[in-house]
Amino acid sequence: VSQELESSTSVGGQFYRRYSELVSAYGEVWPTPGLTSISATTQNRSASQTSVENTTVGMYVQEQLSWQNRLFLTGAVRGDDNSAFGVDYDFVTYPKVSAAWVVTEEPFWNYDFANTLKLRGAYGESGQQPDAFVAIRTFSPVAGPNNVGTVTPDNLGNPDLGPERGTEIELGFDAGLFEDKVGVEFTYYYQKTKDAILLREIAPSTGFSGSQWVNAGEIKNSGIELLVRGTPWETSRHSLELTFNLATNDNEVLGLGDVTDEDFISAGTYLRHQIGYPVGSWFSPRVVSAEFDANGTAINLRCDDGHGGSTDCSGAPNVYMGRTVPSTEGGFASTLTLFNNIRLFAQLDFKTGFTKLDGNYRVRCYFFAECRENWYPTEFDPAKIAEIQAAGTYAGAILDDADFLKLREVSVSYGVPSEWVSRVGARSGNITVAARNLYTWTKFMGLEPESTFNGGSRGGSFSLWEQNVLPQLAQLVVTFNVSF
Amino acid sequence: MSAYRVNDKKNRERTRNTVSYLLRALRRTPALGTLLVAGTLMLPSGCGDVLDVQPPDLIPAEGLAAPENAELLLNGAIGDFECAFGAYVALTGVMAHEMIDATQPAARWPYDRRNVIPNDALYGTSDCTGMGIYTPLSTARWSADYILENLQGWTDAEVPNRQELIATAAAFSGYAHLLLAEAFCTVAIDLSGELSSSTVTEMAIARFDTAIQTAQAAGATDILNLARVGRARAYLGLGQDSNALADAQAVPADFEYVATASGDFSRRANRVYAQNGLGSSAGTALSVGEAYRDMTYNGQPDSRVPVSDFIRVNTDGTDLYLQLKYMSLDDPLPIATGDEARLIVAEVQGGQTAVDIINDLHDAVGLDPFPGGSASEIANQVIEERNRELWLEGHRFFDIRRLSLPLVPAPGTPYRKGGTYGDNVCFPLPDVEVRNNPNVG
Repeated sequence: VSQELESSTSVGGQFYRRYSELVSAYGEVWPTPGLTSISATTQNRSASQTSVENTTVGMYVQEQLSWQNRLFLTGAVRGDDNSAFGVDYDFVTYPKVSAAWVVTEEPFWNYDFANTLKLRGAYGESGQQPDAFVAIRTFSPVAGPNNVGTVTPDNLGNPDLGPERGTEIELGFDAGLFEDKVGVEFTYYYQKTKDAILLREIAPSTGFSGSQWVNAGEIKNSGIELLVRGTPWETSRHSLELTFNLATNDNEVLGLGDVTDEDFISAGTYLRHQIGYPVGSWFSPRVVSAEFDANGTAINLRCDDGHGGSTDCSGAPNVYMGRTVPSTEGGFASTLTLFNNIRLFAQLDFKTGFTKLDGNYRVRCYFFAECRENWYPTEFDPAKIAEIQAAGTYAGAILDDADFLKLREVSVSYGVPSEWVSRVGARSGNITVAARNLYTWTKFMGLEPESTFNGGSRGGSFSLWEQNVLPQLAQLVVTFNVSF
Repeated sequence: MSAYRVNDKKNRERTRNTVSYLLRALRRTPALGTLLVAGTLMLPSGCGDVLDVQPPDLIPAEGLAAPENAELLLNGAIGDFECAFGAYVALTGVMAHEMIDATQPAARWPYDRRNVIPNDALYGTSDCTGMGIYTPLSTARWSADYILENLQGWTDAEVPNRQELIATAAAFSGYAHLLLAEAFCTVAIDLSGELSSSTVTEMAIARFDTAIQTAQAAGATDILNLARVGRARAYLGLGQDSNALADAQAVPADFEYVATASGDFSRRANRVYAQNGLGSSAGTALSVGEAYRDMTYNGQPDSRVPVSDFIRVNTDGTDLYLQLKYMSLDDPLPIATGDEARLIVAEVQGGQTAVDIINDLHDAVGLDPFPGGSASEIANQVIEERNRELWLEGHRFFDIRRLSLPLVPAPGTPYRKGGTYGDNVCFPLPDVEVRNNPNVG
């Protein structure tokens, strides 16, 4: 446009088709050794074929303005239609606008400690498409009486299903300090998702089973993302680099639209999407006090009434027991380089502000009576024993804070001298010894705060349910890389 | 175009809306022109077709409910019932201790131990191959009602043999309702509130009424007798003995209606045999209940309860005994029989009629005759005859509830694999229904 103002316009279209097909064959028992094909098996032979297809047609137009290479303004709009939208849902458009200001390019900037500083802000709308075929009610082919081909109800579907729409505001800055020895990236985000696509269970009395995707009202997410990098020591042969990252999330269901008359929808056993609370939170009645009778049976149970008091447990409400998504997570990493070819690396990760269910404790103590709590109940808090003895009504005894700090990796890497590797015709070589998952600091009652088993009625992707799963194993990995 | 093309209506609307959007955008933004022309050249026949995806392994419901698909849907409903029925027989058999659990993992112990809780996933949400019963029975109930309602809306000209198909759909709906009522303490139907067993039994009777009327009109004798046995069973459960008697007396002694089975498909396998039986394709996840391992009458083995000692202890420590009533995955499971009808007659009438019926049944398997006795002795023998004659046919669990029979082992007795026996005589309404049905709880 001029020497100071540049303009760039772009338009585009998109046709995106995702098609995946899985074909599998199964068989048992080869009659003699040496056979390897499925067709040579003699029992329970079966085959299956599934495919998923999803198509999106989209287009966009974007205009970007740049003034003196220090102020940038971008506006864009895109539109999509998708094969997975419900019958009653059509084309969707997403606008966005963003601005960035490189303050250090301004003549008035006289602060030497900050060699680069960019302020940025953005507003945008985006969408998340439903999965293929989930909107339509379907039957699946099965063998019927006398093995005739027939159909059975499969997916309940949802004719009103459309994309979820997110509106997000981001504010932040990128800074380089002390000649880039320290770098800071900071972002604050505030996101509102309308028509959030959530999975809800289906009551089997409908004739269908499993789950149904619904556009369930409004969800708010906000938080910060921080990355700090530093190089406190650097010479021609040695250096120390440190990195710290932190992300927080405040998540809340603001509304559930018209998919329910209640203030929640169930997401699985003890799990709800409930207005006023984070998505996929734990809910259960909670015993707050009890007494023991002469046999060690908990009696006179009182439960949380949800308003700071207590009530008789027979009609006690489900109360909030914690969120499944960590509210804070981050990590710290350091890399010490010595003599340019020895590299010592260590990384710590942490997650806090979430609650996990110990399913192993649940089955051992609630159902199989194999815990000390079952045989010597009076050694324990009667409120906890009351929950255990109720065998499933209450989740308080099996939910626990899952905060942890984990020494994720410690490694040492050595660059093998080139004259050594050149003997085998290589240009360079490197040997690394890494130890992973060395130690976890946590008060979580179960085996490990990170391992989960996700199952349909256990909450699917929202579930933090530990049962019959291995904890993350400590690993010692030795790697030898050679480049030719 | 396939008979099951996805959402033609949606695609037509999409095409209109998308094209109009593009045209509006084109008028406002000439720069889009080149792109649109290129896009149009690339897309073979417009966005409607582009977005027209076909799920090759699924059948969209839209358009399926058509007269030409009546038999397909009815067979689907029967298939759903057969699938649910197999699991029902096996799982209620465990609750009634006709069979006992022989697995090391503890997921099924609560059934063996009769202390099932509402959030147990197995009976609530599992499919029939996983021994679930609430979801499979609910699906079978819905499928039968769905085709029944459609059939009643179509005409005889549209659907050949419509009356017989209506009778069949109504009979299977009746049975699905009845099994839900018998097995569950309370039931929900189509997101209803919590219904008592007797209310759902009345709903079953209404379906059987329809089945009987239309089967009589269509001359469909097998369905007629199936519905008569079902209605007699339902009346018996409600204590309406004279109605039960009238239906049962009308059923021929040699009548039998079965749920077909096949080892070719896991959902169609004889579920009892899949869990316990003799042969390489049989499972050993169950063993025969202690009371049924050596059933005799006057010292004579009772061949109605054929059992073999496998002389093996399973990994959980359970002695394995094999039922020999079903000998393959293909063996059908009786849904309704003339013998059941005769036992209903014997139970209602008692006296010499009952003794005669018992002795007919004994004679058929070479047992000594029952000499009779007091009214209560005869009544008790009828109950025992039901126990043996209808073994592993899905009756014992409700008989325990209906007749207040003693639970063996008694509640509170230590369970061999941990915990103590409970007192379930019916399944609680599963949490999956309570949590997701706005009219329950």
